[in-house]
Amino acid sequence: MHEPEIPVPGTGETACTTAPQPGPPPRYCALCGAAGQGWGAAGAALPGREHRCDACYQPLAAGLLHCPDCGWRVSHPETGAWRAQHAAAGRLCARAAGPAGPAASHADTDEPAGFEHLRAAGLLFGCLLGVVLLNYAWVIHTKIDSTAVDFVFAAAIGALVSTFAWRWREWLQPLCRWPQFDRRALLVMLATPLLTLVAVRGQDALAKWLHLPVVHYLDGFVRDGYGLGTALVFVAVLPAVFEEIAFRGLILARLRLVMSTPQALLVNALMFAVLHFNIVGFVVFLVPLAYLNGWLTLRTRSLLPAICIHFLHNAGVLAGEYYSL
Amino acid sequence: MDTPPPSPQSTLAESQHKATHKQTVKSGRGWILAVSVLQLLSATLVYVASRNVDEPASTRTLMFTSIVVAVLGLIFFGLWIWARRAPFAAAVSALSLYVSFIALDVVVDPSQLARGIIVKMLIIAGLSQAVKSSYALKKAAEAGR
Repeated sequence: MHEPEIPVPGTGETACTTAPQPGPPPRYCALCGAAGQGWGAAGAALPGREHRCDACYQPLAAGLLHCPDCGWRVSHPETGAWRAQHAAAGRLCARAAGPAGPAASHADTDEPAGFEHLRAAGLLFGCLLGVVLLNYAWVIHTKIDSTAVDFVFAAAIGALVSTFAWRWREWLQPLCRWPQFDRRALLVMLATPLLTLVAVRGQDALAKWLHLPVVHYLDGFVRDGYGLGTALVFVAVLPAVFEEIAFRGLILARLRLVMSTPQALLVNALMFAVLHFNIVGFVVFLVPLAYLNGWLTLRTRSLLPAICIHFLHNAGVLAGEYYSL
Repeated sequence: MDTPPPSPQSTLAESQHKATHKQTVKSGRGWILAVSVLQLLSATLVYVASRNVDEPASTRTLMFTSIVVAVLGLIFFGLWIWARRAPFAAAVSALSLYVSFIALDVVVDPSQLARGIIVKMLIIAGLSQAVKSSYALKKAAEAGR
């Protein structure tokens, strides 16, 4: 016994289906709803597969965005990631799966190859941004700016970066080694903390001149009865280690796979500077410091110099506040 | 072994994709410029407003806001110039910068989320598309080299 023919949407054709036979239950196409046989994974060239324009029904090659005959925009479900995923899972009938060909691989999907590295870098940046903003939200809306909040914030950043570092340890391992110094790298490493500390003093002067608020990191620790040692750990040591692992270790490695090294260094530096939300420091010392740290990490093939520079910079700022320079 | 010449259909598909991506990258640059102009205009307006306020504390806050917004506008202007040479890197930077400062704005004052939400969504969508398209163009250029 024959079931009535089912029209296939957008093709003007009909698909003939047979009555259920004993054996596996009938399957239905995720795109056109037709039941029947002739299923296969994406790329399996089955005879009779044909992809047609929705408007003029002319046959179309895979990967086209517009019909060459009538200019009609080829509907997204039949050309995009949706179709690729369903075809790979074997949920499309032979007609809906369309012809297989090299053009259907990446040109056909929404995301180009290698884009996952940018998404991974964005994920880590987004998580760090989320923690920083949570800290700000707590301080702004509860008006509680105690050192305990700083401890919790440091612990959260540490836990987050440690988790990512463990998950992506294969990206970090090549940088966990003793640095290979040459004369230029050594010069940069010695000069950077001095230059950035001078820049910080310049930034403070500029902020005062513009009547902008100047941040004092040591004040909260002194107010809550902690000494310079505790401030040094939470302002200099932990940020230096975790921020360098996150930005110069993980994010920079991912960015270098999707863009040239100088571009990756600059984007990495901008991301690092953005996360500090210090608009005057952004251009005065944050971007240069992050760029030089990234350059030094790649040059010496180690994270240690960047961590040392970051530590020296932060410790220098604290020392400046402590001795009221 | 000689590789077979590409079929006219695949060449057409490639050129269609390229044209679409180029258009999106161009509009992505336009979005960066739009953000820059919007920030600089806002900074000017806030600065003018700060001149007309008598209370010193409010004047200082408005001055601070205008300086921050103006610096952001200049940074986006720099990114717009950079986007000519490196559209992908500039789009990634612009997107991360814009999203970060929008999020900070919302954290400081949650009512900011609703203000100009359509423009914000349009800018984020435009920049995201620019990131994807500029990357696809970059990959296509590398493959064709």
